[in-house]
Order: sequence, then C-alpha cells, then structure tokens
Amino acid sequence: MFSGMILDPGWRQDDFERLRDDAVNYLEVALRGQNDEELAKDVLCSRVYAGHPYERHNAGTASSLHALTVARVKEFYLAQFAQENLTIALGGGFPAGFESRVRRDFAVLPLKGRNQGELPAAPEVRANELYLVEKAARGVAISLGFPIGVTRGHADFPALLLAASALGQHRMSSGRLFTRMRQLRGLNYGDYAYIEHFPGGMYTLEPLPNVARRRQMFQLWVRPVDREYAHFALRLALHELERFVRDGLTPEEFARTRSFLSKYVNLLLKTKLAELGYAVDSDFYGTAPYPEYVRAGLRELSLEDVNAAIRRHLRWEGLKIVMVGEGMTEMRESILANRESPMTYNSPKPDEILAEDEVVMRRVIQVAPENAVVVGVEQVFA
Amino acid sequence: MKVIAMRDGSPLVTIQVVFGTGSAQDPAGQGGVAWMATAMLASGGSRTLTYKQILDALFPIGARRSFGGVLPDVQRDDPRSWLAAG
Amino acid sequence: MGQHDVFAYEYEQHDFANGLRLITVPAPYPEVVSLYIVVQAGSRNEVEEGRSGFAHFFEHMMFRGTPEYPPERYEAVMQETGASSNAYTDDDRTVYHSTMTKEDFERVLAVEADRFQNLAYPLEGFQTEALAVLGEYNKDSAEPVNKLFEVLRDTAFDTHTYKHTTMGFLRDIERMPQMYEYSRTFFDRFYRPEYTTLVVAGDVRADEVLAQVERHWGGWVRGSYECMVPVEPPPGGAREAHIEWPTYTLPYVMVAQRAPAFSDESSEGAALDLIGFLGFSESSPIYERLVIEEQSVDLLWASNADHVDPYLFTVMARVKEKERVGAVREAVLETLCGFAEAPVDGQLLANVKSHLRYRFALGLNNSEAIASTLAHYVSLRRTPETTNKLYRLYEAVTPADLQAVAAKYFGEAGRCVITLWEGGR
Repeated sequence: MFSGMILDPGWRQDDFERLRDDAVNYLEVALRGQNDEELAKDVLCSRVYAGHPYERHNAGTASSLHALTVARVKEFYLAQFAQENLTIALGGGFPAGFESRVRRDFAVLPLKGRNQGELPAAPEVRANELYLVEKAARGVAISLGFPIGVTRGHADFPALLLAASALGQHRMSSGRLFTRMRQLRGLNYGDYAYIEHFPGGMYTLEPLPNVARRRQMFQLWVRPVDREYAHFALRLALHELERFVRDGLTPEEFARTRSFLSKYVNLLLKTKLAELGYAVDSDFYGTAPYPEYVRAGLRELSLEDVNAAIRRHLRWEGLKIVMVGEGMTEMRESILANRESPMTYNSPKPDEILAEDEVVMRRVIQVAPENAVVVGVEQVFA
Repeated sequence: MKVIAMRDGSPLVTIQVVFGTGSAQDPAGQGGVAWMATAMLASGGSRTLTYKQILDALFPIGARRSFGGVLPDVQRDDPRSWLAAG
Repeated sequence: MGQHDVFAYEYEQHDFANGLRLITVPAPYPEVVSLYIVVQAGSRNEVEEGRSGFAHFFEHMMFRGTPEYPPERYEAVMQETGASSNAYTDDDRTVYHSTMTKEDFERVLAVEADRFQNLAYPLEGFQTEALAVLGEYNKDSAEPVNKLFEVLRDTAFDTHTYKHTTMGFLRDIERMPQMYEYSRTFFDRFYRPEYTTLVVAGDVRADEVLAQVERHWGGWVRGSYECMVPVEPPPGGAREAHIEWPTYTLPYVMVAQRAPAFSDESSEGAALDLIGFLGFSESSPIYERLVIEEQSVDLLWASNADHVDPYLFTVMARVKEKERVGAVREAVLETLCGFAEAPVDGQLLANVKSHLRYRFALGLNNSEAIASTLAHYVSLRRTPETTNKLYRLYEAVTPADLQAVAAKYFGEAGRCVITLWEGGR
C-alpha cells in the first residue's frame, strides 16, 4: 500500500480539489490569517530571494493553485519523481530482503527526470529594504536577514553555527538577543538567530531534519512586539547585531556555547525518524553524520576563528526587513524619518540599560523611500 | 536511487522517502505544483485504493503518516513508522 | 507487547519523607537522560478572583534566579551542560523539563533543586517578566482557536477555575506587574515537595538517581496549603456564544459537552475517549462525509482532554463556507446523539482500541517521550501505573458502555456551542 501511494497514485479529481482547498487555505487562512510570525518569515524568504527560484512560496500562490489541474500535477510527478533524485532511508527492525524489495518496487520510476538546471546563487542584497505587511494584530512580528554563502560542509559552517547559537539559540533563554531584548527589557516572548532555513519555529523547541536547502540565509526572529515599541525593538535587534559583528564573542561566551553545542547535537537524533532524517541531510550536504560533523568542527575552533567567520559572513547593513502588524504606513514614515523611538518601562532599570536605550532610540536605519513598501496582507501570496 | 539502511533490533520499521526536487522546479505559472504533487501522494488515493480505504487500513495499526512538506530542493514523502509484522 | 501493561518499561517509584515523589525509568536509549519536574498546580489552582494566568506567569518567574544562581549564572550552567530545557503550564500542571547527556544529569538536578527551594527575584525582574507574558498573549492572539477556547470556557463554566484558560484573562495579565506579593504566596503554597514529582527516564540506574535526588532535594521543606477549587454546579441548559473575528478566517464551530473528570477507575472517561476516535477521527463516517466527500469541512477533531476535575468533551470543525456552519453543527450533534441511540459495530470499536494501544506504544520511542508522557499522567494520579489501568479500562469498554455514557453526557443540558467567523471590523 505504501509503495502504491507513491508509485501508483490515483490522480482523482476529488482528491485534487480537497488538497487544493487545503493548500489555498494554508496560504490564506493558516498563514495570512492566523500566523503573523510564520508569515513574516515566509515573506522574508521571498524578499531575500527576489528574482530567484526560492522567491516563490513552496505552496505557490492562491491564484497559481487555482490555475492548476490534475494533468499538470501528474506531468510534474512524471518529470520529477525519478530514480536519479530518490533517496530512501530505512530504519528499525526490517526483515532480511526488505531493502532489495524496496529497490525493486521503486525501480518502476523513470531512471532520469527532467534536467533541473543550475540553481542560481542568491541575489546580492546591498541596500536595506523594508517590507511592511498591514494586518490587524495585537503585536508586530519582525523577521530580518540576508543570504549567506555558507551551507553545511562549508569550512565556516561550524563557526557560524556556534555564532548563531551564542546570538540566539532557537527557543533557548541563553542567547544574547533573548537576554538583552526579553530578559532585561521584557519586549516580547523571545528573540533568536539562524544560519539555516528553519520553518515552523513556533511548533518545535529544537531544530528538525529534512529541511535541507542548497542556498541558505542568515536571519533574526523577533517575536511580536507591542506596536508602540516595534521601531525600538527593530533598532535594538540591529544594535545587538552590529555589536555582535564588530566585537564578536567574549572568550567566556565562546567556551560556554562550544560546550553547549558539542553536547546538544547528541540530543537531536532522538527518534528513528530523526536519525533517518539527519542521515538523509548529511547525504544531501555531503558531510559526515551530523553530530560527528559538528563536534569535530567545533573541536578545532578558536575564538578568533569564530569572530573572523562572523566578520566574513555577517553584517548589520544590507538587510531585508519584514514586519507584519497594524499601523504600517505610520511605521514606514517613522523608520524613513529615523524618528526617535523612546522606550519606557513599568519598573526601574539599571543605568547601563537606560544609557544604551538612549543610543538605540536614535539609531539610524538607512532605507531609501523606494525600498520601503507597505502591502495589505491580502496581497501576500495572492 | 540511493538507499540508506540503518537496521537495528527495534520492533519498529521506519521509512523515509525523499525526492530531490521541490518548489524550485515549479514551472513558470505553476507555483504550488510540487506541493500538490506531494500532497496527492501523501494524502490522496492510489490507483487501486481510495484515500478513505487507505485511512481505514492504517488506522488500527496506529501507523503514522506525515506529509513532510515541500521545500525548494527536496520533498519528503510519507515518513512513517509501524510495528513490523508479528 | 503485553495485553495488559501498556507501559512496558520497568520503573522505580519512591516517596521521600518530605512528600516528594521520584519515578525513575531506566530506558534502553544510551547516553541521554530526561528530567521532568511535575508540579501539580496549574491554572486550575488559580482560585482567587483576578489571579487567572498566574500559574503560567509563575512558570516564567522560575527562570528569574536564586541567591546562588542569578539568571545569568543559571543560564550559563544550563548552557554548559548542553541541556535542552523548557517549561509549560496547563490547567492541572506546571512542568519543567530538561534533556541532557548523562554525565551532566546531577549538575542539572542540583541547579533545579536550588531554584525550587531558594527562588528569590527582585521586583524589577518580576515586572519585566510580566511584559514577556503579555508578549506571549499577543503572539497567541492571532490564532482564532485560542479565542474559541477562551470563550468556550468562559461560557461553559460558572464557578470552577476551568472558566479561564491557562494564559488567563487579558485584564488579569495586564495587572500582573502589581502582584509581586502574591507571587511569593503562590511559590510558598505550591512549590512544595508534596505537590511535586520528579520523573527521570533514560540511561540511568534507579539507585544512583535516588541517592542524587536525596542529596539535592531531600532538605526541601513540606508545605501545608490545601487548594480548595470551587465545584462547578450541574449544567442547567444549553449555552451558546458567537465570536466576530477581525481578520480573514474560515468559520469555526465548536461543540462541547460537560464530561467527567479523568479516572483510572471508572470507565466513563475511557468510553468518551473512544467515542472521540470512533466519531471524529480520520477513519470516522462523519470525516468521510464532511471532509472527503462533501469537502465542506477542512479540519475536524474531537478531544476528551484528561482533567483533574470534570471538564469538557469538545468537537471542533473548520467549515469552508459560512452558509454550511449550521449543517455541520447539526451533523456533529447527530453524531454525538447517535452514540446513545444505537450500539457501535464491535469491529470498529476494536479498531479504535488497537489504534490507541499502538499509538501509545509507538510514541514511547525515546527517553524524552517516556518522561513527557509520564509527566501528563503523573500530574493526574502521580504514578505510571495509571496508564496501565487506563488502557485496561479501554480494553473492557463495550458497545453498551458507549451507549450509556453518550446518553448520560451528550444531553442538551450540558452542551455549549461556540461559533466564530469573520466580521465586526
């Protein structure tokens, strides 16, 4: 039955209509309607890869989905689901002879698929761009980033992995961004940094396998901030990013983060499915098994290596910035005019924080008016 | 075809099928076609069984079927676990 | 897999003199240990007016330091261990969890023991954290299902604390910065050994864990607070509410029926669990009709969520067109009432029992999954044995039991229907 589903699909019109409704509703309801944070991330990805095949949302757009037919989908399947690009991972207590049976079953697929062509490099992002999505909401979701030339297997990958962990390990309270933005200032629920595509961040505490990409980007995820403080929060995130890139990690941060990651990677292969997923990913990137790959890379790193890699690949200008929330026309004006965005608190703060806020509230973000766009949420992936 | 086999003594069998294609291959004007192709395999019927028949067959053994999703470069179909026969 | 003991791992259960309980499950997954600290206090325990959401807020405060481990030091130690750690709160429990490699287990156990016994945070940290909680409310507020639950509880309950969600009423969240004194009271009441169970699963020896826990947690002082949660009066008739949602959404309909408390003794709850699957799973007739054939609904689920006190059996459907909401609601009600009218097919019932048993066993495939599953049951009955008892109840449920439980609980008197669609901008 399992192979039947993949190798001998039914191509029924009623299945197609149900699943197309699901895809359209995924874009229009789940994403645009109900998940401002994932929307901000997906829009960011689309903006970072403007003009590149990655610009398109994985589910397309509502209108492109409506234009599809079963025949088109079948045609894609026949052209793309070929033996040459197939990887099957088997785990657990399968019986002897199972592997050869699976090979035989899948041999009904064509040997070769349509030529996929070269995937272009990511477009260069030189100037800051502001892409603001207007939507009624209690908070403002912020994501920002730029393409990087580092994927797993690149010499600087372990160094950047360590750097991103120190700046903002996903869903952990140890990162710098989390400490400075949430722990000390109570700005929002959390703030994190990534060097790899990380879909569905709100549903997982840990990175998941099977999301490999040939091109990667660096990004910051600033969870929804009160509208009144959103401009300040954006400035603070950039202030921290600049400080991080200029000054790098402290020796103490370096030691702690290296210790953390060296152990943490051992916890990621919890289930058989995760183990298979990581094995498939390692095969995709051409690296040793992930935990060994990361541990070996970390072992050889020095603080200077990490700080040099940060300076080589990261930056605080030339960013795509996406915000989703209410009052975006005003936000645009405020950012273009570099209006002061004072921060107020419900409790006394240490002088160090207040002094830093004085600087942050005036931080200049250079955006040319033509690079600052406000769109209605209904226009996104429409 | 590449097969990565990681056999052990567990009573479970887990299979993951990954195709090296994805939304980056969507032809112009056909955004979402990779997504729909994978959805049709993972959550639609086969030629011999309707989707309902597949759901009914998998239900009693608690087999988990997940539509791993579509990315620009890879599509993960149907990772699943079930108890080996016996 | 044995017919009777669905929880197939050996475990040790130990009670310390101060009332703390330890459950250790040596599991066949090398190198990794998972620690779940279960406090039997959640939003159910927010018995005083104006304190909704406090248990969850307090969970945040547990990360705000002790004299020995101020927040920066706590973070540094946890980071060095490479532990993956977090916490969550719901109606009946607050759970702090860490998963780590085995050589760091005792260190994590020690810093956790320190914060459970010596938590001390300044007013400033307290007030700042209240803002982070508001940020959490804000991030959740884009999701209509959160609002549906908020209104469902408020409509369905009059006196019991299940009236509010774990996040709490917004008006209470906004007042949290003024509740510093109360936060000390909350800690003093509930963060006590007699409310707490440690679940340890993984590459450990039970005798070693016992000695380690004694060393770090043995001196914790027992408390005396007994929480009197108001009893909800019997339902007095069907209730309804409607929500106008300010942004684009598909319409939702939620049908809830008052249901009994979790029990591993009485089979009523077990029977309702089974009805949830028989009636509304992917393999159910209504799913076939509404989702696969008519395609008028794209999401459908039912849940008889385990609770310490009587809660709700809930069915939710997301409907593709507003005009169909009434018909979907009728179909859900017909399905519910149908269970009282005629016995279900024995084979279908057997399929659901099989599904549940396999799903439970398949889910326990790593140390963290074992500990997190037990954390849920431990907060209800404080022992893994309750899972075995529950699954024995499932086995014993007959079609006649289903009919009886449906007749008892699916009447109009205990019903609450909530709808939501776009409007009111």
